[in-house]
Order: sequence, then structure tokens, then C-alpha cells
Amino acid sequence: MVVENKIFFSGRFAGPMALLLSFILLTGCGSLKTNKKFYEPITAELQNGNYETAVAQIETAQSEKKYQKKDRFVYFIDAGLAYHYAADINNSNQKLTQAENAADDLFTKSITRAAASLLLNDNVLEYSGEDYEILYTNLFMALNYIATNNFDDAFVETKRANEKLNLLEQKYRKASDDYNQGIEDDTDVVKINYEAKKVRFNNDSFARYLSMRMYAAEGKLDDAIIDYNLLKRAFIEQPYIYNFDMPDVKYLPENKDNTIFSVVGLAGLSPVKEALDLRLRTDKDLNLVQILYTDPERQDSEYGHLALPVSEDYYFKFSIPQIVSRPSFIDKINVYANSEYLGELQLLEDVGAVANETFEAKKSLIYLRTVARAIFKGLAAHKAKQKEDKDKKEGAFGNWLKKALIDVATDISENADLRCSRLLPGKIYVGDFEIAPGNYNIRIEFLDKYSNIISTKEIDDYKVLKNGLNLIEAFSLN
Amino acid sequence: MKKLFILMILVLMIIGCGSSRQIERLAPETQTDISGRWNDTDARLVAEEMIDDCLRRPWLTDFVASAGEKPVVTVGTIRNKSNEHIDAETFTTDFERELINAGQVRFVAGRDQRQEIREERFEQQDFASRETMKKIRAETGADFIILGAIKSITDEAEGVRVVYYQTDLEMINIETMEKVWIGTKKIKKGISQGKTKW
Repeated sequence: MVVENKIFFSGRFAGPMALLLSFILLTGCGSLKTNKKFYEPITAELQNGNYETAVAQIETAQSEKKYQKKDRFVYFIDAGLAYHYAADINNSNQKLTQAENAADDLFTKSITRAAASLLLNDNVLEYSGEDYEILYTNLFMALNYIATNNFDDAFVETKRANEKLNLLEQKYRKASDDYNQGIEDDTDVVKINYEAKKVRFNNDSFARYLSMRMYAAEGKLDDAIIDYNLLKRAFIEQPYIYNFDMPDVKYLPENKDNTIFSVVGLAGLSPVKEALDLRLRTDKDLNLVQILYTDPERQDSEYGHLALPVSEDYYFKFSIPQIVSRPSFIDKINVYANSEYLGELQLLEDVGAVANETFEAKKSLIYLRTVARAIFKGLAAHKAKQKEDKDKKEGAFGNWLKKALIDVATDISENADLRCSRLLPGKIYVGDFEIAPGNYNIRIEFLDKYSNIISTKEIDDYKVLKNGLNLIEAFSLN
Repeated sequence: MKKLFILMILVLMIIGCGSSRQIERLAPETQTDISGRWNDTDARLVAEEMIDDCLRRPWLTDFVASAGEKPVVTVGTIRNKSNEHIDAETFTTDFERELINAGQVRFVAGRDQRQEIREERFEQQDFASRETMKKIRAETGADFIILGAIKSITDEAEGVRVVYYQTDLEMINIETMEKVWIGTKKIKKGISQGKTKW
């Protein structure tokens, strides 16, 4: 340690680089990078329909501290979803409530962590959940309450989901004001102005559908019609999210002797955050910072640029999170009652589109924060290496070692924050079928594009009531 | 540089330090507001004040004057139409307790309890001795039922939330469907959350 301390704090390195190296040593690399490898067996079990095993694996991961305290929101939502798939309603509600409470509590940001993130990366921050994750926390709790015929509590969840959507635009406007104010107050930080991207999502079709069906089941047709119209508006006013035909949802049967039997089908897995590796190149003559792609297909083509006064020419590698969809085998979901074909479920919500739209507003803020940090760190590393070249007091090997250490420190510290729930479904389908009240053997088939059956859910002797909510949920996360 | 390093160590120590848990026993009637959500204090205050209001209204004296006995009351469904999870059972129990303790009305069990007790009575017909068996069709029928709902409106911006709760209760004559009392209790709470912490 004496040797290391001498190297780090001898005063030969530029101050910020010594600070960065010390931060890395003290926080440990685990806090600097998103741990996602342990998800692989969990998602495999979920896709094989072994939901209890997936629950056990998540709880083991938690006990083995694979979810750190700063990542508790991710644990709560993952566990809540896994328990939901395993039909353990009580535990699912408990975990999802904890997820929602954690997101609320984490509105209060840690100053120390924020300071550390300015030098390291966003992984050191406490993760308070993406807006789409918090939205589905409420909607999965609504599904849990519907499963236990507890409409009052299910309504609570749909109302909370809608309230949160109404606050989104305000939230990001405030975030941009805070960012710009922070830049003005801090003379050391690279100045990049940010204009908030408008959030174009304030009406969720799945929340509207659930409350429409519940109001209809309670005989409150006026309220059901209001939600039906709001659902229609979600499709009309948000075509960038709902770029497909609105499903044929129903709140009332055409034949008075019949009733509505509803199926909610969840298919595939939601998109996840993956790192987009970029490279920063400065040009002091042009006062230009260029951001370039690094992948082989787009190498050195421009991702973006900023007109900023820079004092040195240097390169710096960094990465930002991007939403990447996961392919699903499910192409069609067919529903049968007493072996008679009732129909096909229709797409109501693409979770990926919702995730993209809500993340987009945040992405530009993350991008600018990361670029500002990269410019600062890149410059510090460049100057520290220049100083080593100039001094050459440690001999060739010593100087090489120090320069290598600078590169390692900047490489280790610069990681995209890829934390997100990896257990949400990819797409939500619904079907409202008009049938006579009675008992039915229900079969729901999930098919791939070649009409192969991927998975089947069967419910024997399901009682379809004349008055009441006849809604069942089926899922195949393949 | 040295100062900066010491500062950094302090920052990291604060990141790593969690607060230790402290436990303190509280009297049940202590007013507690932690999360800002609906809690036992709200339920108790609403029950006490609304039942007090209900029992001071003329319907009670009118009934006693005409029937010559205390009215028999039951509590029906109090629906949660708010945007928070409210334990309706605890809330209903608070109403029942206040009504019974006031001593001005007689009280019969609510729907769920009646159902359970009836099952017990039916079982007694088969399994209890003739001397101890309780009669069927000997229940006291309620004269009035209390029905109601809790609603809420939330206004929220930048870490400040104002929640307005309104509890509406109605006393309805079961035979005539006449509404003899309508009461409303309003609670408004302001909840603010700091933007930063260490």
C-alpha cells in the first residue's frame, strides 16, 4: 500500500486522477458496474414456466447480496413480479408495495452519492426506478387485487398509476431546471445546457382497460364508458406508443343474456438497458466535442456533437444506457372455452414502446451528464499522462505503469448504469369474449409464428358469472 | 490535495454508514404521521367525530320517542374510493366501537360476522345438546344500517403532496330506505419530502 500511496498521492498525478483512483479503491468495483449476469438462470426458469424456482433464485440472489442496498428497488420489483408469476399474491403485493415505497423514498437524493457519481458513474447512485417500472408496479398490484376480487384495492392501484403519469411532464421539466441550475452553480463542471424533452405519455391503455372492466363488473356503466373513451384517446393521442389498432374491448355484452369473459395475456419479456459504447473526441481549434460510435458497423460515425471551448485534443471512451428490446417467440394467443375457439387476443400495450417513450426524456439528461463527466475525466487523464511524459522521473517502466493505471482507472470507473427490472412482460394482449354465463373448461394457447404451441394454460370448470368480473390472466414469457 | 482526500474519505464513510434501528413503545392513541398516508390516527379521529355527530342528531331522539326503545344499528360496507389502501375492517371496527361505547343504540354484527355466526348456529342444531343449542330465526334485526365511502384527491408537485380525504357516511332506515343522517368528515394533509440527504 505504501508504494501505491506513493504513486497515487505523490502529487505527480493531476489531482482529479488521484481522487478517482482513490474512489475506485474505496468503493470497490462492484459498486461501479451493474451486476446482471445472475439474471440468466432466472429468466431461463421464467421462460420454462418454473416460476417458484425463479422466486427462489431471486431470494438467493438477494441473500447473497447480488442486489446491493442501493439497488433495493430492483430487488423489490423483481421479487414482486416473480411472486406474481408464481401466483403468490400476498408476497407479490408485499414486494411491489415495497418497490413503490422505495421509489417514493428515493425522491430524496443522497448528496454524497451524487458527488461520487460526478466523478465515477451513475451506478453509485441509489436506483429509484424508471417511470415505466413504477407504472407497472401499480398495474401488477391491480392484477393481484383483481385475482382476489378486491376491486377497491385494484382501483387504488389504477388511480395511482394514472396520477403518476400526470406528474411525468412536470418531473422532467424540473429535472432540466435542476440540471441547468447545478451547472450554473458549479464552476468546475463542463457547461452544457439542457432543454427538457417533452414526455408524451400521460394515458396508459392497460390502466384504462382494467378500470373499465372493473367498473362494468360493478354495474357502473357511466364510469366504464369514461374509461373506454379514455382508452380510445390513449390510442388516438399517443400514436408513437400505440402504433397499432385498438383492440376490440367491451364493457357490455350485445346480447343481454350473455356476459363478458376477459383474458389478459402477457407475452415475452420487456426491453432492458444495454450499454451503448461511445468515444469522445475533442478539437480545440474548432471548439468542438464530437461523440462517435465505436461498434464495427458504425465506427467513427457521429452520434452527436457539442460546440464547447476545449483546451486540449484528446479521446475518451464512455458508455450510456439504451433501451434494447428482447425478441419474443409469441406471435398469437388463442382462447378456447369447452374446446370451442373463442378468438385471438389482441395487442393492447407494447411495454417496450412505453419504456422507450418514458426513458427517452431521461436519456438526454443521462447523455449530457455522462458527456460532461467524460470531458472532465478525459481532460484530467490526458493532462496526467502528459505530465508523466514530461517528468519521466520514474524511468520508462514507472511512467508506463502510471499511464496504464490512469487508463485502467478511467476505464473501470466509466460504466453505463444498466439497472432495470428484467422480469416485466414485453407485450400485453387482451380479449373480451361475449359468452353465456356458466362453467367452462378454458384453454389459452401461446403460438409462435409457425403456429407451434409454445405454452398452454388450462383452467377447468371456470365459473363465468352473469354479473361480476370474469377476467383471467395467462402468460408466456418466451 | 490532502484536504480533498480527507473530504473524500468522509464522503465514503457517510455513504457506507446506515442508521441504527431504534425501537420505542408508543401509546395506541399517540398521533403518528410517518409516511403521510392514511393511518390509524385518521381512522380513529374520523370514527370518533362522525359517530359523535351522528348520535347528536334528531333521528335518534325521534326514533326513541316513536318506538320506545333504542334503535338497532349495523355497519354495512364502507368503500375505499381513495387512492390509498385503507384497511376497511379496522375502520369499520372503529365505527362499531364508538357506536357501542356511546350506549345510545343497540348494535348487531355486520354481514361477514353474521354469516360466520349463522354457520356456527346451524352446526349447533346437529351437534350441540338440546339444552345449550341456540335457536335459529331469533336474531335481532337492525333498524338502521350505516353505509359510506372514503374518497381522496391528491395534488402533488416537486416533493410536496397535499391529500384531501373525505369520508361520507349515511344512516339508512332498513325498512323504509329513508336516509336519516348524512355525515361528512374532511381531513387535509400536507406532506413534503426533502430533495436531498447526506
